[in-house]
Amino acid sequence: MEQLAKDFAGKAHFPFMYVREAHPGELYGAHESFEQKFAHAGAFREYGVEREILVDSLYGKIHRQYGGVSNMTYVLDHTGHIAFRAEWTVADDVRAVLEEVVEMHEIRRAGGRVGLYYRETLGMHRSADNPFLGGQQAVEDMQRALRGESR
Amino acid sequence: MVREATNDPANITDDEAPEFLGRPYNLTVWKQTRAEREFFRNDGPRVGSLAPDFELPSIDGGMVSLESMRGLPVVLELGSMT
Repeated sequence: MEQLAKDFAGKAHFPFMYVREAHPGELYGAHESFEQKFAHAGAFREYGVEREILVDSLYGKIHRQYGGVSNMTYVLDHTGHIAFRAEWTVADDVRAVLEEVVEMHEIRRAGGRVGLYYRETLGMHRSADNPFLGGQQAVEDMQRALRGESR
Repeated sequence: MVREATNDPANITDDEAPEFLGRPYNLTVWKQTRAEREFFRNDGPRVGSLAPDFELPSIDGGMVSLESMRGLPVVLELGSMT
């Protein structure tokens, strides 16, 4: 996503909204205060996120308005209408939609006509072996959940 | 895009939200929510609709609103560290 933001610099905005921790653990646990959440958001810079980082409220007021699912991405057109939403962020998917949005906007500006159609896709992605920056607790929680056990 | 801060992030009050989709919003243990198990039931805004406006603090200072981004496409990612 960082490369995408660089490729579209000046052509699109790329805000990153920090929401609740999806896989809390001993390293990044559940947020207990806004101050803690705000401080954790700053750590994204250490992981190479250069986009504008915004911090949602402690209880996810905006995240909940947007569906509350972990790691969602929305692409909005030039007027703020939703052209795409996905419940997992895959840069290639976003790039394809963004290129389309930009191209169709140029066609409209040139006086051309643009037709809309609805489409659905069930996306798939290969999961990382150990994606949990939350720590060992987050890994064990996931393994336990996949075995159908609860804690 | 960044406007002057209207208040200090440390002083922002939050809405009470003890539960969301039947679980505490701030999870202490990972477990799929209904919206994640049944992806088609996600209650978020649908394609074609106007995205809800918001104004949130930036870690670089100031408040940033979605409204301020009008005129260009917006790629809004909602994510976490984990």
